[in-house]
Amino acid sequence: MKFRTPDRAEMVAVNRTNLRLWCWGDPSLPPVLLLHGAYDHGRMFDEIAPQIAALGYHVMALDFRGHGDSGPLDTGFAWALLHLDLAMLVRHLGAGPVGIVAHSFGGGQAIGLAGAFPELVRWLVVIDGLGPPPAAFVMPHDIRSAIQDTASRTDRIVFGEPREWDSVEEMAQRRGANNLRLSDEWALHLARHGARRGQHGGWVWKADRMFGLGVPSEFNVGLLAEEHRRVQCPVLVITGTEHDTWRDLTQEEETERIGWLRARHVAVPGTGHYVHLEDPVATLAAITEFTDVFEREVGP
Amino acid sequence: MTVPTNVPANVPANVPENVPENVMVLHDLGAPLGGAPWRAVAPSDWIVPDLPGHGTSRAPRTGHYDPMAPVAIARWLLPAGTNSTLIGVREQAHSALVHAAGGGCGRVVVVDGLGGPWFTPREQIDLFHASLRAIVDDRSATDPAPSSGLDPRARYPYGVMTSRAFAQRFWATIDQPVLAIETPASVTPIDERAERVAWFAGRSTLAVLESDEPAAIVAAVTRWRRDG
Repeated sequence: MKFRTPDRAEMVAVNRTNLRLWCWGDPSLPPVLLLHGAYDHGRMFDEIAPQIAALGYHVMALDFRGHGDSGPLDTGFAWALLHLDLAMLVRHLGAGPVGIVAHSFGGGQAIGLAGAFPELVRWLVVIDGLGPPPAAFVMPHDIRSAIQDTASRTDRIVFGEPREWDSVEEMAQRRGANNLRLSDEWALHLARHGARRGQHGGWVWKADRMFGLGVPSEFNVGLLAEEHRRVQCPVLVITGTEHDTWRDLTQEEETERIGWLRARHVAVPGTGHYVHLEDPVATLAAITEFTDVFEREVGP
Repeated sequence: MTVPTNVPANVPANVPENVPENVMVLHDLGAPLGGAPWRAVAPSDWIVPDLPGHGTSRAPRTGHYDPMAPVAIARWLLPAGTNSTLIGVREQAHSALVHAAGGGCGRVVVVDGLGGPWFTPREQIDLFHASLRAIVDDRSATDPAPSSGLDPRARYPYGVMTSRAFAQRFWATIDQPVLAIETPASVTPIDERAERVAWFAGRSTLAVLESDEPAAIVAAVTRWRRDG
């Protein structure tokens, strides 16, 4: 693994918050935005971002609001809010429409942005980010308990203090236990840049604990399909082939959703949810082939 | 009652002390005067805060509005129990129902809160995207929020998506008494009101008023509570 520290770190004030951008490459080149998944951060692209920049792009990895160094959340009901952040960020950058490489939850955000603001997105690469399985849209059987659980978790967050870990290494171990396919080196890298000092001298996760909370509301496969179908730009979907945490679509569901996007598809053998971390060479090759065709056929 | 001293800075202002009746109003999102029109006509022991971004309450630190916050505020300010009544006005109706579904209050009132016409997924995504684009194009809604008065961002709805199937399933989990007040400002199709009210699991009452003025609504709620 060859992590490369970003060339620049910027903090951009948009949509009533501050968003952290980690940047590689020449700012005069066409912009590419890298979007991480839930509870991650922009430094997860430290290996592949400089290689994408070497293709001739100005690459910017975002810390979503509620993640990394960006501003906080008061809610997990943030789907639309993060769409707004993205739209205003791209407008603020002023470099025209962007290419996007997005992982997992970031893929859903990118699809939403491309559908609602087609003028802001040139092309899109979605890495295992086609949305949750149909079972995730079903209302909990015991709604009262679910609401009470959200309430007690909210109160613990608002009135309590976050858990402090003794060391970043301990956090990396936890991360590795949740994502068994991550190498130790990657788990440590993600923990190192996903943690900050707590009030009592330990370490706490930067990811906002409110992020996972919400209120019951409608979302279903029909709405998901409609969102995907709104995307007009060229799309490449990259997936793994192995069973993994957060990789829970059936083959049929995956194929159907790729069809909604009218996307090209590359499956990288031997990888799970974190395709770009597990096999950056194959991931970059797929991105390179896709962007080469795009730049040749569509141009600047 | 006493507001906890360690609540976040955006907890609402204008909360009365000593509240035996346990009635709380969540005024509409984007109400130009916040809770003031309700406080002017409601019994003095009703809890009618200015919700964040309205009246004398500061905007949320994120500058954005979502239906979770009113649920938390109701939990923090309205004593739980069978005698407590939560009133959710229009955009806040869903939050009031969530609080009720979690067992947070003994009765719940929704004002113009039975939902509008049901939309297809295509129409819902159209509306969602139009709302996003409207906010992004509205400088006043994305510039820093004012320190008091109505935050222009609060004029935009929460964007809670719903459908007939969702409403029917979710409302069927609410077994407390429900009063659904419909005013001329309601967007619910008139011929669907009675059917929708029947979806609640507990005793539900439909009251159709000729005015959407707070005084008329307060009177209707008072009658309903008194008559059991």
